[in-house]
Amino acid sequence: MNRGAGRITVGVTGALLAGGAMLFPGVAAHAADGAAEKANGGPFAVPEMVVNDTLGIRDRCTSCHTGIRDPGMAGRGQPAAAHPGGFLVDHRVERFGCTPCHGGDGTATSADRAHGAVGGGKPMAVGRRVEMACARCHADALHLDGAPFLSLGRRSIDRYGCVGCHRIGGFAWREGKAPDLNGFASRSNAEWVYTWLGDPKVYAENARMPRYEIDDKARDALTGYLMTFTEESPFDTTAFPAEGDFDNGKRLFRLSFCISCHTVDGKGADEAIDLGRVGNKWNRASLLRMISDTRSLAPDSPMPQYTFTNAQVADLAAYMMDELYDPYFADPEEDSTLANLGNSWPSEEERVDAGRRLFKELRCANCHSFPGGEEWIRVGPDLREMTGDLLVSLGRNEGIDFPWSLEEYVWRKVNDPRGMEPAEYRYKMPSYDLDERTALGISMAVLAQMIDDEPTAAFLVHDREMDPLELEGEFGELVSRYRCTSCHSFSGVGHNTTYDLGMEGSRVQRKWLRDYLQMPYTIRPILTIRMPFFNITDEQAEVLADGIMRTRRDVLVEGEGDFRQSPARIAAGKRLFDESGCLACHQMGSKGGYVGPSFTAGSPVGRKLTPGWIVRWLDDPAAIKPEVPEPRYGFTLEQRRSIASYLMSIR
Amino acid sequence: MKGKITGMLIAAGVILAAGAAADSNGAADSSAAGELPPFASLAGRPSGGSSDPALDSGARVYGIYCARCHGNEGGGDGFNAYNLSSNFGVSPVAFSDSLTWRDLDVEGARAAIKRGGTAVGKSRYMPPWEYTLSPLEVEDVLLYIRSMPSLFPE
Ligand code: HEC
Repeated sequence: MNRGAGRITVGVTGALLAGGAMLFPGVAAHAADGAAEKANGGPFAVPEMVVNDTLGIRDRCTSCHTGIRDPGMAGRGQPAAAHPGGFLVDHRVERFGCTPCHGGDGTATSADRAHGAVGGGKPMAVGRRVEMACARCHADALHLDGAPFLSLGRRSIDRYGCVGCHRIGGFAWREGKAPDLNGFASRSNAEWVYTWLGDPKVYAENARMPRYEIDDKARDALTGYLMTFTEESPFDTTAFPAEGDFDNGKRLFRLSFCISCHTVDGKGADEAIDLGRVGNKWNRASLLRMISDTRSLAPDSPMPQYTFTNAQVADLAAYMMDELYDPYFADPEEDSTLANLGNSWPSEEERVDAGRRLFKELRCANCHSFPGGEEWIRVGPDLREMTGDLLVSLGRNEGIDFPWSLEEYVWRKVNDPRGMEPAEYRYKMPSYDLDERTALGISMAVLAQMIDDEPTAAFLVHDREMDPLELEGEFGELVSRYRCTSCHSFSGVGHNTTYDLGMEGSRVQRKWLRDYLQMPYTIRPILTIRMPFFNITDEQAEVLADGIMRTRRDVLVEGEGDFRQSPARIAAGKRLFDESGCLACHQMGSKGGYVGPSFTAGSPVGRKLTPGWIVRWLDDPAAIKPEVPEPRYGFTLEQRRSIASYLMSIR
Repeated sequence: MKGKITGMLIAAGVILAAGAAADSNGAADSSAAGELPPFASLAGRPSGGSSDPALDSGARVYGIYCARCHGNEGGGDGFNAYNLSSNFGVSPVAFSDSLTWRDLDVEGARAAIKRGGTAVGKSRYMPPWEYTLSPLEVEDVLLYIRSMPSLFPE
């Protein structure tokens, strides 16, 4: 295990760091002391120090951790081991040192002190804990490569709407995003809502709503109150055929790729609620309305507005009301409580009154709109201000002696919100029944934004685009109607679960795009997320294709296509294609792998892509699509042109 | 001045010893600062199951670039493996099989990862990764696939 020992005594001069200093003013390597020592015939080890005045860094860590930049030292024992992963590429040691992420005391001259074990300095962060430091600069990213727990935590905070009650650093302060309860009673039924209020996860494994531990009588009262939310003018269903075609509904359900976002009985992409029992929750009229006029029920939802005919909507509803219905769920014949709803209250009036009070007390309105909605009051503490001291005084105020550190308190609170305080306070935070990874992620994300030593503004990285995409005119309306940005981003704006459309107009041919919008086929067979069939009309397809061709262009990419696709290039391209083993992942005819798109199925590649884009893509696929599984081959420009010529010849 | 630098050397020795101790435990845990076990012990990746950052990084690289051919647990049975065997008669190596490592040495594996199957006289359907992965990532993934027989014993 002493493989690295020899390296320690080999002096590290300042030369390496001096290079960094020139690139980054304000960063200077102080090797002067060591050099003087050397001149005096002292020992060989020259302490190395990274100095960055802007960030207040004075780190000597690399004096001992000599191998962190050396691939040859990967996986070796400490202190000489290489730093794992690609972190140091973007976070050059010469600029950032080590302590901004790892904590500890960079100026210390003993290992114990440096690592914070003695001396009262900040303890060094190792293992998972390091991720929390990412949040110092990456203040609001929902996803950070290399920080899986922090990312999961941030996404979960967003998903569960924690900001409905708490103020949390890096998140906008607004109401939680839950369905509007206006007209609820005209869509649903008392049996369903009573069961749901008991534990939303019984209805849908991926329900976002937390579990409130209220007793049966209270639950009954809330049910009674919610069932007073009737629609003033119920949805008119006369425009739809009275009977739908089950089989066609089934076909449409599949084609529409509802499970690109929803799950059904746990299968699917898990972005939106499980639909496995939607027939128990909603009646036919509300399904008809949701599918035909999505925005009237879900104005801000990421769900697209499909363009179905009324007959198709009726078919879908027929399929869903039958197939996505569980006769044993919330069945009054099975469960006598359900048959006796309301009976535990002396009068309906008292029941509804009690329900109204509870609704207020539990702060349901922090996430839901409801009839006669009141002002939104934030009830939870501002988590940006939480500190260990505050926790102690909070506990003292409430007469509780918390035996935990802030870290442990947060972890426990997230896991078991009601187990922490005496009973009279317990109604405050509901239970989310999180799995261990998610609970850990949320705890880390919450703790991370409490870390008070903020970086200078210059180092803050805002990864999240707060401004919505603004696209003009008819094109913009259609992009919003179909919620393209629920799955695609446009030059980084929007969710990107699949492909960024920033250069789409230079990537593909207009005719292909137009046809694909109307009849999407499977491009990558392994993905769960699929481009849905929206029933886009001819006219809409033209507008969308034009809009993309007009606004999503990249002249540089198109410039790359400026070469002759000569027969010689085509032949050379074919040779390269075969020799490089492209077929390991792509299909050509009946042969090849399943990882990347087929070059012949659906549409031949020569009718889909542009030569400029192929040349650009092959240069460095990951530069266009991070973490794409396609390797970079290091092809020369001529080789890339040849391959592009060959692919364009496949028509 | 002299005293200070000697101190440094002693300190280095201390860390070395600490490093060796951590290594022999198989994991550098945070017990010094670690009042909260889950932070240190929970695995970063479902496939990794370690608290060793190099191994974690290797597991991440493997999951993105290798698993679809070589299999999530290194069984040589990724979802794309069937296409390779039925179309081209080659099968991705099974890293979790300890016998694999009798014939395959680290140098050979490194060369294959960097420059592809053809560089070591093997199939062209093993792609080259030297322009995709950083040298460190190559070492991390190499460490990870070499650990597969013990991570995923049959
Ligand atoms: C497209 C499928 C595919 C992908 C992706 C892939 N491999 Fe392979 N790999 C193969 C095949 C096929 C072989 C067997 C070659 C042979 O036996 O001729 C192989 C063999 C190997 C070998 C053994 C070479 C030898 O000398 O026997 C190593 C090591 C290896 N792969 C590592 C990796 C790593 C690491 C990754 C991810 C960075 C990876 N592979 C990604 C298909 C793939």
